Amino acid sequence: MFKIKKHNYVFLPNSRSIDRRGFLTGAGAAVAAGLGAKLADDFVPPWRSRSVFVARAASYQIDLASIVKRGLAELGIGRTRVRGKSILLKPNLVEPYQGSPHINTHPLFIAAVVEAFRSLDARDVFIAEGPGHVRDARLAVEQAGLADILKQLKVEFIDLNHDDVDRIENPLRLSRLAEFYLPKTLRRADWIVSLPKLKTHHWVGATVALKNLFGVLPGIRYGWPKNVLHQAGIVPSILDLNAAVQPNLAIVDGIVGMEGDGPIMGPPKKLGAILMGENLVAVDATATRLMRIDPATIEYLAIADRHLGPIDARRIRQRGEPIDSIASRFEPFRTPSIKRAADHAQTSSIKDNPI
Amino acid sequence: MFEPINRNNWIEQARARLRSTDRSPAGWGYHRGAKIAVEPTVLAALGLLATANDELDRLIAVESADRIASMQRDDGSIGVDDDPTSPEWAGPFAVLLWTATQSHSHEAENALKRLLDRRGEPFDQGNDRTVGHNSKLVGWPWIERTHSWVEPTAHALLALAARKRLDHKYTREGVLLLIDRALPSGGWNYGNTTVYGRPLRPQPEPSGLALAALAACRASSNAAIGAGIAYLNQSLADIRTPRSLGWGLIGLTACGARPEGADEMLAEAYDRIADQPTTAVDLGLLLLAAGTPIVRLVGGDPQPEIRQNVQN
Repeated sequence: MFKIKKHNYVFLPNSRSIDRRGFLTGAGAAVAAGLGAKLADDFVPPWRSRSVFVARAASYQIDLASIVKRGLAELGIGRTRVRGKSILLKPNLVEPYQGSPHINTHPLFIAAVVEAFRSLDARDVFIAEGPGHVRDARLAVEQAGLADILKQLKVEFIDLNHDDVDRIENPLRLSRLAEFYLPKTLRRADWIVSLPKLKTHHWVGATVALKNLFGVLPGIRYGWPKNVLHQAGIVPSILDLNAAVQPNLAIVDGIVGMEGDGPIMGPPKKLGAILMGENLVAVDATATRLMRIDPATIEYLAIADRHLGPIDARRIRQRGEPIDSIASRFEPFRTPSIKRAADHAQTSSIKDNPI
Repeated sequence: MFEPINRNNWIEQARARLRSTDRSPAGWGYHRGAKIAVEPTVLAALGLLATANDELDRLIAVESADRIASMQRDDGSIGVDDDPTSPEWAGPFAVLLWTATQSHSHEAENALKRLLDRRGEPFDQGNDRTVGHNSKLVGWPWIERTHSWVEPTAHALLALAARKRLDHKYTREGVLLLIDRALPSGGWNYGNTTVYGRPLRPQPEPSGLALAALAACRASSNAAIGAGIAYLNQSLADIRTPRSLGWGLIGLTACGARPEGADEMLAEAYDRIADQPTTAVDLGLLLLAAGTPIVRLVGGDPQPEIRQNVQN
């Protein structure tokens, strides 16, 4: 198949050959060099720090922007790296429901991240999401309480579900998906920042920064729900998608999360934490530890450990608050599928899920 | 500054935006500057037709129908846009526009044949009742070779009804699927009713679509329809986003249950987006909800029994 190689993605026919600036040289080069479908741990670009910063944040009403700025500084992300950059913030707005604010990333948390990047002279900070359960992104934004924030801060929101697409080769190929259709809006961003909500998940155990990337994919190509990913296997799709998109940073809303029947039906769980890092696997592993869940029992994290980043605490540089000083048990949602996932996490079992 | 919105001038403003500034040659994309896509083009053209007041609207609609026809593939399918790799779920929209404009009958029949040949994937849950719906019933998927979901099934049923295939066995199965996917609390979401025994929440857009499709297919009046109407009547009171309000009112209207304040709700919805960048889908749906009911626009009539049931 004819391929157009650019600096970042490996574009396939029907895509224009425009790259995302300063991004993803590792993935594109590796695939183009024919290293095969399965990439080793050094797939993670060496400059991608494995530090994870954890902070206390008692509520959404405190000065969250200062906490985010302190975290960025701890990670070595200062004005020099941010100045002039276009920053895409990808929150988790899975479905609109005013009665359960813990489903979605909190609007005040998103506002704090916007303010933090603007204070570091980012050229452009915008929010983009493709809700997984509804086509009406405007309704999702309104009912999440985000509309007023967008207006006050003059921040643009882009509905990724209905974006034009680029066809991109799947560099990791743990799933059977040969390619991804990524929204063209991703090209506009120098950095993609995952802003997830900390939640348990009834299919895969936990959903944090890596799983949040499902919302990047346009519904017009993947459906509502994004059933193509379910049928290709949720676990391998999470990993493939992150290898393809290569988000630059995650900042996790762990102030009030969700336990039990996540990602939409569980009760709120107050944790009072924000965590952030440039390696999303390390962030997610740390996040699960804050939930008192062993990351090795989360199948996609166990597999990610061999491809995309570390889950072993000894390989993660922990900064900020000690995990044990904040961690609190999130009630897991015990289902047969999660139990099987935990049992087989060490043997790379990858399941399909038709729905 | 926009002048105060009232029922008449918001419709003219929306029509003017669709006819001029938001329109690419012979079609519309999902947002300004995007490539022409089938769904926004059809909804915009139907919105103009539903509120038509001159011959220009019909000319634009016919021109759009021609543009969509040029995108049809040899196998009868119609992609989301002109990308040959794009999925086929937008095909029913093309059928609706061709029917409303009384054009491209041959293309519409080919599209329908393809639609009937490309349904969703059922699966057998066995004893593992993870999801509450009947996963063996077959409707239509968003993406080929995936499961059937509420919205694409409703799209397909609207197209089948428009082409008078009410008695086709797949139409009847699609109706059964929508009834099966109704939520216990009333209304529909994307298509999972319960997961691990816990009921999920309804959403206005799939609820309106499902009601419109059931009315178009002359589904027997039943509890799911009544509960869906009740859900929408309650939820739309606070919703002014064009997609949700538009499909919600289209569904209620198709069932003869249009709320008294519908015109004011639509005017308010337009007022909220009047000074914002907006899309052909937003404008088209608001106009479609304001004008001639979709079922009548594409040549059908909702079942009298449903209307009678609602009135009682």
